[in-house]
Amino acid sequence: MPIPESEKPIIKGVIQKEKVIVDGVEVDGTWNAFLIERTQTGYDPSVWDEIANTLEGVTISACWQCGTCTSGCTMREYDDNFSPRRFIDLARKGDKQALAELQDSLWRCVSCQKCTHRCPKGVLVEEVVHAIHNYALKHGLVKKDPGTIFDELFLETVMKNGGRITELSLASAAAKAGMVTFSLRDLLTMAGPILKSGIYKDLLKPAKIKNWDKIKQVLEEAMKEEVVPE
Amino acid sequence: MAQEKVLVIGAGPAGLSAARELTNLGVDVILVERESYLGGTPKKLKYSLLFPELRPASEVLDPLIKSVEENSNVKIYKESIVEGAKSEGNGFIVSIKDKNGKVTTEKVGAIIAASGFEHFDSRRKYEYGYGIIPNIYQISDVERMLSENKLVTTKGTPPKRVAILLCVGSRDATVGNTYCSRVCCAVSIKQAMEIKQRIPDAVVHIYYMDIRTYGLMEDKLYWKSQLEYRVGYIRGRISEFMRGPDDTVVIKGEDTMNLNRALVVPYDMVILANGMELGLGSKQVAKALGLEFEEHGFVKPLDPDRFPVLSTRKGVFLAGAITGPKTISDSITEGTAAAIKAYEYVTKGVWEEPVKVQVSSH
Repeated sequence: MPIPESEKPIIKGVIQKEKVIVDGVEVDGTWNAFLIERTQTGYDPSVWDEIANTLEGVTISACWQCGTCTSGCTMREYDDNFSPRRFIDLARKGDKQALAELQDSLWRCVSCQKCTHRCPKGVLVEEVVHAIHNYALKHGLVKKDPGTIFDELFLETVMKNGGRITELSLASAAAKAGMVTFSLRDLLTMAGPILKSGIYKDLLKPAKIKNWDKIKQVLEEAMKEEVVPE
Repeated sequence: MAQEKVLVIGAGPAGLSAARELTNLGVDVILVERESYLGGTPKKLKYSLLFPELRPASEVLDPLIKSVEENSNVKIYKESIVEGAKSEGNGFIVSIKDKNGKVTTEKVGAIIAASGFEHFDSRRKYEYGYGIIPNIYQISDVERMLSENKLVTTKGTPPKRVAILLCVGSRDATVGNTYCSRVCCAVSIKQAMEIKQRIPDAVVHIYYMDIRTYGLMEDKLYWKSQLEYRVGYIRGRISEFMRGPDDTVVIKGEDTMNLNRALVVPYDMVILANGMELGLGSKQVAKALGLEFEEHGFVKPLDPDRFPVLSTRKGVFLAGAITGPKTISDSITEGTAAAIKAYEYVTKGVWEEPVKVQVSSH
């Protein structure tokens, strides 16, 4: 049934959808402007299985949802949506959609380990949260977060600069990636110390570590491997 | 001393245990059972494995049945009920009616009522669709399906997605049952593990409000089911079931741990964890013996703390689920307790009355 002309001003501004199905019933007319689809067509059990089969996520099965981890969490004070208890619950249920909705929080663990030490069931919460985040990244549920971007940048810089990291090489890489911006004034302020200390030389010719070529090979090989618990 | 006799009503775990103990003490037993076999509800509904040890029910019950059945000091009336009990001195004259209406009278020194419980009939919760929508079962149905190894949906195939709803007919004022049935959490988790043992790729979700695997069952059931079988727990009480396409069952509920969405989830099979009630059989026994009921509809003990196996009528003892929901092991324990109390009564006339003790308020 189309929406009567007289009612159109009332729902002005409300997004009108093409088709809305609530509880398996298609609703049309005025109702579809107000109702939100709420069909959860089932959880994906493979999420729990896959995370439990990683080295970090192996203890996820022990959780009993008491909330000890979240109530003492450092990050929770800054982000209401950061809840290890909830991440574990959603991952075990396989509620991918809900995990995706939490993408701005999922990556923010600061690894203070309070949760891991306090867990009454021996869940290595910090590791499990990372395993859940890794799962979400691997399956494209979440966009790449600043933490991961920086980690990759860091690793890339190490690999590029002969196994060493320097302030200048990391800062310039971060600037290139758009993570930090320098004003002209910043650059002018920094120029003096940079020239004086001689750290600019690192940029021109990186000081490699001993046997870098061999170590590089080992590292590259190690990074390829995906570790699975026995 | 003349040979003393005790009447035991009900041949379930509690009644069998009482009968066995009494004969060990040298007392003759008259055992009255409504069904044509001994073993009570666990035999009637063909229980599969017992929690928390996951051992077959027959391993626990069969030796008990055998010891009573083969005992010449136990006189068994099968397919019979007790119609009435007249007091005579300290004892009773009881009339026992068989299925053809033939009444026999027996003279006994004491009575142990162990007529047990009945499972809640989920049809009383019409919104759950039990008996109307295909592939909705009760835990009491699933026990038989498991023990006969026939856990299949209406399509004849093993279910790949199973939901178990706890507290059906328990903790529910709309059906008048405000108590917890104690065993359904443990039974459901046990069934979930049994299903996962047989169908490893099945998804099993338990919808719960609280998990009450009390005492030593916590790690043996609740923890184990998650660690070893990955049984999923979703907090929230399902409010209704709908018939989905292709004989699936669609549940409507809420995940109360994650309030971001209402749930509409399809399953191949739904199991309702129906609780325990006194049932018509025990109500008839209570009426015939003139016993009182307590507020939840079970038979009232003389003093629930001090004399849990004594009834409000002198010379009548209680054992098992007639006084409230109980596990099989608890019922066996109570059968033993009732037997010793009945023995004291018939041999020494011991009947303790509850005494009011003045306690200073604090």
